[in-house]
Amino acid sequence: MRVRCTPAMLWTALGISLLAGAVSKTLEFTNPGAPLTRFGSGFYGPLYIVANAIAFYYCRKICSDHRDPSTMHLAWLLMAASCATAIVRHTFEWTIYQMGWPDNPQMFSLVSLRQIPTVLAMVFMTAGLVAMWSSFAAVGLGMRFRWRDAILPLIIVALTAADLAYRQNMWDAQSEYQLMGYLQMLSPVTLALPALLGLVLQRISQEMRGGQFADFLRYLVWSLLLRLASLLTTFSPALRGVRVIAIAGTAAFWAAPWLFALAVMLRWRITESLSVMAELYERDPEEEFAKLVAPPANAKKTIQGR
Amino acid sequence: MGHDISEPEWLEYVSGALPPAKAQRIESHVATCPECAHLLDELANWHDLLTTEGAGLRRALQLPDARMEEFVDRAVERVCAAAHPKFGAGRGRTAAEGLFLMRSLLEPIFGSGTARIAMDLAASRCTIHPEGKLLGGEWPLFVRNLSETLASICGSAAGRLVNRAGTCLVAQGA
Repeated sequence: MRVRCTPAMLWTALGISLLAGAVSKTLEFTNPGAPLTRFGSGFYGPLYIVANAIAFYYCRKICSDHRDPSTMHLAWLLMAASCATAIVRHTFEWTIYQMGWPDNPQMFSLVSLRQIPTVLAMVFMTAGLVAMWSSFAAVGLGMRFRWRDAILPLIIVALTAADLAYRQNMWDAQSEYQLMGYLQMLSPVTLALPALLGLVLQRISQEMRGGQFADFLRYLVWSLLLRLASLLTTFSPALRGVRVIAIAGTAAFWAAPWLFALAVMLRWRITESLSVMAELYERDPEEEFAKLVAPPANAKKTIQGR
Repeated sequence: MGHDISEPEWLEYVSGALPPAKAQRIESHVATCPECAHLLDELANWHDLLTTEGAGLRRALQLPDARMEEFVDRAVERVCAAAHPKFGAGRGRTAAEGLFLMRSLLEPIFGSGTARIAMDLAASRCTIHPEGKLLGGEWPLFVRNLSETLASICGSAAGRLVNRAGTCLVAQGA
């Protein structure tokens, strides 16, 4: 039996991740070292892998709907690559976790190798978003900015700069592989760049003035901002010490990949709707145009078809 | 449509996107031309209806299926009640009517801003009549341009839809 993924399923998964993240962090505060706490902390691995696998599947499908070669084809290909490398990273990290990290200090250097797929995933994501922006810009979208559009990017840059000040506290900074330490120090920057590009996509969604496409872009932007916000709370000792912020940050960190998967799935559903509509226009174009101003019974059929 | 005012200018005027200088020119002309005043009245009615119903539909997307169906029924009924007969099926359409229907098709999916930009871009690559009208004979080229533009950002399914819907809109000259 083939199971069809629906937005409701992904919303549920997002809710579960949010809750699991919050519970896991709460347990860390109340029962540090307890087996349940340990189980909870490791639970995010499988959730991340599944969310990225779903996103990868839809990215590939959307990619195949774009002409090859084209900038948008490249954009989706890069985003699929980002999801694939994220899967590699979390599979590696989760395996190491099951082998006893972080209780076993000998594994600190081994686990630090996760920085390679981590940075690669963010580089792919950034490049994909640049390619996406470039496609929209070619038709004149995302080229006009207002002064107030600069406020949020400035806040992001300031917070990222502040986070860089705490780079010595990062987990992998103590790795015997110096390169891994440097790569992790870069992580606030590699997360801030996609978030900044997300704000450009937000501007594009505003220029679109409504429509399902703008909704997809908004989901994409929120997932990128959520990822950055959760990282900022994780890195900064000042924020990490405040329980409510730490719990909210962890919950956001667990939920972010699901929001991205949801955005990508919504984008694919638009393609599916467009294909159904194209078939209807192929079958009886005159009837379909009549339905734009037709009696309700007929119009209902068309809208349900979409 | 006519009297030195192109279809895109009418549509932009109605949606409030026309630069003030051009808008003033239309207003002065409408004040002295009953034919254009009537046309503007019709276009403004259409725009209001689509805007209201479009906003309502977007809100309705959050509703359960049964409520959604009920809402769509009522929305389409209201639009139909005010529809001008010349947009009905069974006759050839002018390029202006084709543009209007194409826009009605694209806006709920891609947004009014995207639809306007893509249609302007597609029209700019066609031969435009000195009065600024899109000629009926240019319609296939316009549809191809529009299809390519939307396909470049929204994928080949979007391009296919525009192609198939556009080719059925037989324009008979503006």
